[in-house]
Amino acid sequence: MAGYRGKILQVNLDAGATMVKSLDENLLRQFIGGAGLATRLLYDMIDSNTDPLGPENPLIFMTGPFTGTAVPTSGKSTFCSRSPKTGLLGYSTVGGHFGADLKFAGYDGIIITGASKKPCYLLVEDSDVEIRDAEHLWGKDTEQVWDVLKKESNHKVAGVARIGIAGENLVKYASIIVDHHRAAGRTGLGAVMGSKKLKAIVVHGSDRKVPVAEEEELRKYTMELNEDSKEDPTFRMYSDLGTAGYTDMASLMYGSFPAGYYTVAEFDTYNLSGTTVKETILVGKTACFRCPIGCGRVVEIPEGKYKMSKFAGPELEVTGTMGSLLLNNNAEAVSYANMMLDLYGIDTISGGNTIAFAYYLFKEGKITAKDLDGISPEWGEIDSALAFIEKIAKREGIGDLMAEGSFQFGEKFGVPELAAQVNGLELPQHDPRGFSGLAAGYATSPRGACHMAADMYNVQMGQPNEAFGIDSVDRFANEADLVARHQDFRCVTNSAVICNFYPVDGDKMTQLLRLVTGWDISVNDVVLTGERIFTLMRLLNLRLGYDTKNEILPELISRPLEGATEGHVPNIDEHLNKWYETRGWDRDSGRPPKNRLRVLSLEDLV
Amino acid sequence: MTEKLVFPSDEWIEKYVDALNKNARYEDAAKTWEGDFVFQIDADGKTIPEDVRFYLDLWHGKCRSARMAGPEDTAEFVYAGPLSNWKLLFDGKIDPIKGIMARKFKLTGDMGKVMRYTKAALELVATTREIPTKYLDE
Repeated sequence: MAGYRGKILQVNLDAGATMVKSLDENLLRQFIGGAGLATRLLYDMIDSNTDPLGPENPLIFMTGPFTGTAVPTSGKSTFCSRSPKTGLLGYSTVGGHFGADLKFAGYDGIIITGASKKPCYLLVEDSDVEIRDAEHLWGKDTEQVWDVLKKESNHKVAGVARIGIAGENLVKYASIIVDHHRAAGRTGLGAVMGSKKLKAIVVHGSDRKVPVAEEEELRKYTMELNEDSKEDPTFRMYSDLGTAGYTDMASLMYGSFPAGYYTVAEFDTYNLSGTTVKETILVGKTACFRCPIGCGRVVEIPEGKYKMSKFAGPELEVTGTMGSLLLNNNAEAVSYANMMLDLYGIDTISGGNTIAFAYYLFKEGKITAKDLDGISPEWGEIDSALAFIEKIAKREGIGDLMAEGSFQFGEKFGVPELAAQVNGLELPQHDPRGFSGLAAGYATSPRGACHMAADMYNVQMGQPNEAFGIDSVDRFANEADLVARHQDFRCVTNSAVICNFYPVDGDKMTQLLRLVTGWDISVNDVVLTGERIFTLMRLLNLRLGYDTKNEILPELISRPLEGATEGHVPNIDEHLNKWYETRGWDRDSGRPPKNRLRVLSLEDLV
Repeated sequence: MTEKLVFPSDEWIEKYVDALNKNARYEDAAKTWEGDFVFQIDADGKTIPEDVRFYLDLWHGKCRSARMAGPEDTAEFVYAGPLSNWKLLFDGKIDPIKGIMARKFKLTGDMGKVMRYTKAALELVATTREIPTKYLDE
């Protein structure tokens, strides 16, 4: 079983017991690993009655066949569960080296069920697995926990996934922080971990050689890919400037970087961008396992209001939510807010959006300082946001409501339609008015408004993918057919698992899968696998109560803006028509037809 | 009918620099820009046997000097691509940044610096539309 260890570690926190289960190769061929395999396993374990924060909701951590191998950016892996944020499928892909460590320990994944009565953490050292007391870690931030557990486990480089205070307090968008502050941020899986009283997972593996089918060929091929990637502009930009290097282009050129809670057409992001960070507070870079890009930033602010020691620097999303979304153009302030969010373990996208929503409603006169515990936020200042972050993490005062998310916050004040969210998940910092493909991408994503399940900004900036029939012509056009195909492609990359930032297409993915697993597969097989996984995600969501009535864009996104978006607003209804036509699914029920399920070997699931 | 000028040529460059230096939108977008470019039409072994290059010295919203360039000429930035892609660029089918992202053009130089002046890049291209242009393969 090349590319895999063939084993899943099962942990029952009710009983305090662990066991090892073998993986079925047929399942791997169908769903690969990562998000695909985790979703397939989850499918058999939950239904609409499953309480996302109840012991019956499993938390699955899954690597892919690439994880821990020579494949570039193969440190990636996926957390998966029923989301407490959306009630739908929740998954979040994360970097670091935690996934590779698990493969080195001899496992492809971990399934955690039940809930501990008291705080605990899981220690995995090859075949030795122990559930340990974590009373001394409860209430500690993600940096403190990391430091303590590295010492306690006697492994300086152990993979450590942990939650902060937000996860403990079941903030609905709590993140899981991994290794050097990489975040499994989306869909609130940190709250699932918190509901199980599981503060952390520590993994150390000693067998660092994951078997692959064609070792020498894989080595040569990855060297070729890395050489070619050096010419790739996205690769170069993220390597040199971090993901926030995209800020200038997104805001000035495309108008896709939202500002003033999605209501301001043009905002000067000069002082926020990755270029500014590089020129001012950057002191180092970090890279995940086997990553030649190294998009991670390390910043330090030696003095001033936002003084901070060396810490993970801001990436693109938080540059948006704590920067332009608040009309704040101070990179030091964004860095400080980012540090707080990471230390508390809060998703920078959902958390930042909810905070910016409070700013917006306050400025629009929909709420008052009394509603906000006396805080009067002003565009451009971030101190109110810092206060909100703390309140959210601790669920104090208004923070208790904000911890539920934007929709619930808006609902409380009678304006849920103004919340920038889709299917319960807040918008990433890529505006569909700048790249129309994001419209159907957000509306139909398996996990709500998500830019990683279909990064259409990359597609509509001109990254083709011939194997999947993807070649954008116009960023304002209805290219919902390409959205469907790109979603399928991303299902493959998120299952294998490889980073979205690494420039591969369907042909390259097929070759990598062949070399790693030894499977005799064609490009068409891979295309079909992508469709199978996306369809599976829809089937699970339908089981959980997915309703096509929620496939809409936020009201604020329907308002045209001047500037680089040139007044364009995607017609979501037309986009969805094209998307459903491409997939051949029923538009009303959202359900794939039986004949297609047979082609995809999914007919037994309905 | 206005005579079309060959892109690139001394005559085309002269007209282009004149138009660019009258472009107020460019001047505003590039008012703090300091840097020179070599633009290159890649050799294709057929119509274009060798790389064809020209040089622009861009400074604070103006073009200070410009000329055809040889293989030995250097600049802070080199923007290079095949003639077919230059046509797409001038026709507005792709923008200069999309050209880089789609790997239709190769940029050599500090990408972060260029990213800060994307509006200026758009105006550089928009100005070409003011020049009656015929291409090397016409």
